[in-house]
Amino acid sequence: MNKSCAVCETLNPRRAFRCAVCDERLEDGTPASAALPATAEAGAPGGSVLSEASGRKTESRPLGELIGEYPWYGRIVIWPIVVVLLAVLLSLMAVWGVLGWLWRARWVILLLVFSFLVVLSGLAVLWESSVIYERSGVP
Amino acid sequence: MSRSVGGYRITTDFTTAGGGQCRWAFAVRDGDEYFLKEFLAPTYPIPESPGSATTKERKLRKCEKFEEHHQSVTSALAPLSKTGGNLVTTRDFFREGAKYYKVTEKVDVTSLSPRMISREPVERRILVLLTVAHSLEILHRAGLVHGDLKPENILIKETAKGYYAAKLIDFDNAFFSGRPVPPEDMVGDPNYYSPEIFGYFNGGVTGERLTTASDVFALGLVAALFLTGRGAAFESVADAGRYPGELRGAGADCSTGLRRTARADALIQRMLSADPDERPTALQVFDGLKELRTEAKRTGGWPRETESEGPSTGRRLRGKLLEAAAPEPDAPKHAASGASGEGGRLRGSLLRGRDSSSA
Repeated sequence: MNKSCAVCETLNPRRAFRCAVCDERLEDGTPASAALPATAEAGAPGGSVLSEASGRKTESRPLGELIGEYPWYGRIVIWPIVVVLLAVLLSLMAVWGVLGWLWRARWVILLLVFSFLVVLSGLAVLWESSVIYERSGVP
Repeated sequence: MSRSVGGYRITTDFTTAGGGQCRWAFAVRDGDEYFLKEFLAPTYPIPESPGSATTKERKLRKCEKFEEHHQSVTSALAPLSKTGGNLVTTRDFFREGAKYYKVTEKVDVTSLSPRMISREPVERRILVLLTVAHSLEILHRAGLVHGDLKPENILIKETAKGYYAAKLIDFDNAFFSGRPVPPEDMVGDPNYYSPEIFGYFNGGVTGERLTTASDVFALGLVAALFLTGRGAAFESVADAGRYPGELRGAGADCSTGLRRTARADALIQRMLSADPDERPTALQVFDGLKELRTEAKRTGGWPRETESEGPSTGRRLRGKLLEAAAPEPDAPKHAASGASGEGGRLRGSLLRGRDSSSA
């Protein structure tokens, strides 16, 4: 199903999340999209393609803006990394419990590791968002 | 009123309002509303029609050419857009009896004149132009020239969010870039002809020079009109005619009414270049407009920069410049235009002039 922009009525590809003409955020299931014949698949090459917004050159947008575009549940790549790192952290804590000489500095080390995790997760999110963005074919 | 044509049930009387070589009506098929246009010419020589065998043969040849041209353009347009988009392309083209018919989707338009658009906030004015430029870019990407771009063929529709979007209609005069129909068959509005189209009529320019750049020239005139409400003004040149394309071709200077906004003025000036090679492409125009809109949104419009020149400047210009803007349509047109009377007369005189000069 294609997305018709509520601001300028441009027909955009199904996976687009911003209008190619006015840059407004697109919503799903607009009336104009519903009126399209089932065969009119956006973005499909050739044939009866609804291609008003396809074929545009790409332009860069700030990655920070993209983070808000995707729900957390979509970031399936991120969570395994976080879980593995947490497991490693817990293991380390167990080791530290044995190694008493680390015990005194445990909070400082924990803070450092958590900070590292947060930074790493953030980078992974940014990377994934940019990959998804490029794959979406949105100009 | 309950007449049917080609499977379409006519719901209104046919009217010639806004049409030259056609009349139009609204129709319904399978519950959907359509705009149906009936061409008054050419007429197909059916067995019952009057005329000698020779006349009928001549009409048949003309109809075949007409049909072939429209079928090829319709086929090229078909994949470009679907219902609800901003390109209102042909849905059906057929003949019934002696008459040809063309069908497009019905668009519910807003009665908004170019002057009223020019009173909208800057970013909204630019958005209207953006939708036109985007539609034109799609058309040009397919190698098609609209051939009759003017405000009457740009329907303004209020969108769900209260903005205005432009629907590009009337592809009757469309042709493939560099392959126009013969000069005597060309229709359109001389107010929006590019310099090379006038050259084509005069015989000084070959058909290969009539490319998508001609549409960009017309879009430049439309852009100036939508942004300022008054349109571009051209310096008068002796014996050069009175249309923008003629004047620009003769080297006339032009005022867009946007001189205080250097970027907007520069963009439209380039679009109105006499040399088609110097004009930007529709894509470049689109990108330029998009940048201007982003800036207008950021600054909340730029009234001091982009408002059209004030009355005093206008008075100064009146003595020097010739107002060359197209006549403002009071209501958006949803009928195909054929050759306007003025256009027909102009073409006739141009072609006569060419013939006499070559004789």
